Amino acid sequence: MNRLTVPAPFAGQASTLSRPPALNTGGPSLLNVQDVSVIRGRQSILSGVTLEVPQGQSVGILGANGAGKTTLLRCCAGLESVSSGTVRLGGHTGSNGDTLTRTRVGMVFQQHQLVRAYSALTNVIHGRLGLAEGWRCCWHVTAPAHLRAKAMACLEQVGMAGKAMRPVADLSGGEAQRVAIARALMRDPELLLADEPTASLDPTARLDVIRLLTSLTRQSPACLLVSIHDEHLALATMDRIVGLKGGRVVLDALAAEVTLEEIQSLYAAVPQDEPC
Amino acid sequence: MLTQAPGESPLVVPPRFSSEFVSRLLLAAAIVIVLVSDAASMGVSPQRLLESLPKLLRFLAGMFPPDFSHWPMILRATWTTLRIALLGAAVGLAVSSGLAVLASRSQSPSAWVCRAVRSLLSAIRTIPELIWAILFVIAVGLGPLAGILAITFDTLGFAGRFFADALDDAPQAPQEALRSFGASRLQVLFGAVLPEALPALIGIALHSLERAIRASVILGVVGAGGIGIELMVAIKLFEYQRSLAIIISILVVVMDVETVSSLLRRHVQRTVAGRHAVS
Ligand SMILES: Nc1ncnc2c1ncn2[C@@H]1O[C@H](COP(=O)(O)OP(=O)(O)OP(=O)(O)O)[C@@H](O)[C@H]1O
Ligand SMILES: [Mg+2]
Repeated sequence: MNRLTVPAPFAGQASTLSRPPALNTGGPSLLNVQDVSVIRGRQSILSGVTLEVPQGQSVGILGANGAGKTTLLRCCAGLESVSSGTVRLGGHTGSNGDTLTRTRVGMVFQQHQLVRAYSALTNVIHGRLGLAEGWRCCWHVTAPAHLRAKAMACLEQVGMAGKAMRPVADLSGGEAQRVAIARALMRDPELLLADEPTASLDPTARLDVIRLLTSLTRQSPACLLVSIHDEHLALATMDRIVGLKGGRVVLDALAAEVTLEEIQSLYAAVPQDEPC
Repeated sequence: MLTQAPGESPLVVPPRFSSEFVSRLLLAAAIVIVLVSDAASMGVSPQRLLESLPKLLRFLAGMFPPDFSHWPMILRATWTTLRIALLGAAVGLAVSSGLAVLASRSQSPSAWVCRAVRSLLSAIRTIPELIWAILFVIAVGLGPLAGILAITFDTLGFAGRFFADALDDAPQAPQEALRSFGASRLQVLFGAVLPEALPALIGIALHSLERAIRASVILGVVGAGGIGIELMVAIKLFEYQRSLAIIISILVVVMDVETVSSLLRRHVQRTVAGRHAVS
């Protein structure tokens, strides 16, 4: 089963470990999620989620379907309004997605949310919207030369440079996923959010893509939040694992110290009649 | 549980006709009766239709053979009609593409603007093109300009509304993605809405063109230029053979335009099915 023999990064420097509350590996925390709750209608989707992520850290978010992974990532991107609590990025509050937050965030959506009629190249250039040359970035034809070059470099990083001019509608699910990742990379994000970016990728591509994300995170340095369903992949590549269950953080530890059993318990049935 | 346990209450088969069904049936019957009796009161009766049949046949027979001796006039008037339709539709489409953005629920800058523009468009739509033509003949005088303006307004009411609906039908997810990057409303419009809505927009534009051609024929009747006035004159002068020639040339133009338009439409659909991108 253990195909992935990647040495876990940060394994040696697990100094201050406390669980389940927020965990800090030292550096200044870039993303600061404080006691966030999201309530939609009568349903409580997230309750009291607290998460501090320092620069350079890759966090894998695990949890069963409906655990709240997507909602948590969308809150971090400022796409979801929180019912209580705050989401801060580098000290700036952005709970409702002010532009300051948005310029620093790159999000890869679960359903990649690309413009199907446009080419991969145009979609990647869209990643610059909301930044300086925003206006010219609606279409690759009008985009400045250096951004077209940068977009090609981003596509190259995800192995899609050869299909830059293909319309997204013509791409396979995995190829579209890669284009969506390239679009997020295009933003030089400080916070990279990826919602199951590997869901429709083949096993080798999964490892490649996740490694690409983690290495970029370490270089920038940015911080990375990825929701993954593949626990082996998460343990092999992430610095830290956050487990969600019924909208609560039930596991928060360095990947090197998490056992497979702990992760598998995340997927055990949620107690049905929990008092609300 | 497929079989019924003994001792439980027996299964009740619902009646064939519920009282609701019967009352709906009665309502439908009542509507038919009212319509028929109303037709009778307006002097519409099968006898009268039958009696007028020979007259109609005589009229149709009098139209043969068509008289194309005035063909230069017919050609010129048909050409004018075509130009009125094309110009009017072009201006109408240009203006309505701007208004459609304001009238679209998802793209409008504010709910108020959206509601105001929508009501304006539906007000324009309630007025038939013939009334527009009469109004513009009064305003700018007899001739093609009145026709062009009438077609413009007719196209505006139609295309403005359907363009707006097409913009609203564009998929929301890519728009949300761009918005999450901080793209402005117009950037989202050009980056995610227009490319996805383009096939629908082209279809609506072609449809508007067909409507404009048909409308422009009738506009001549009130003096707004084109072939309509010639037809009117021919009928008034009992020159049925000449009027048939005019009707035939109108048919040819309308059918040609519809053929070209549906060819174009099919081409657009095929390119979308073959997924050739806007790039
Ligand atoms: N707008 C909403 N209104 C009501 N309930 C919602 C809304 N959005 C999400 N939910 C509910 O919140 C819960 C968490 O949803 P979320 O999409 O965050 O789960 P997830 O962990 O991403 O699941 P998956 O692994 O299937 O992607 C689900 O039960 C979902 O039905
Ligand atoms: Mg999800």
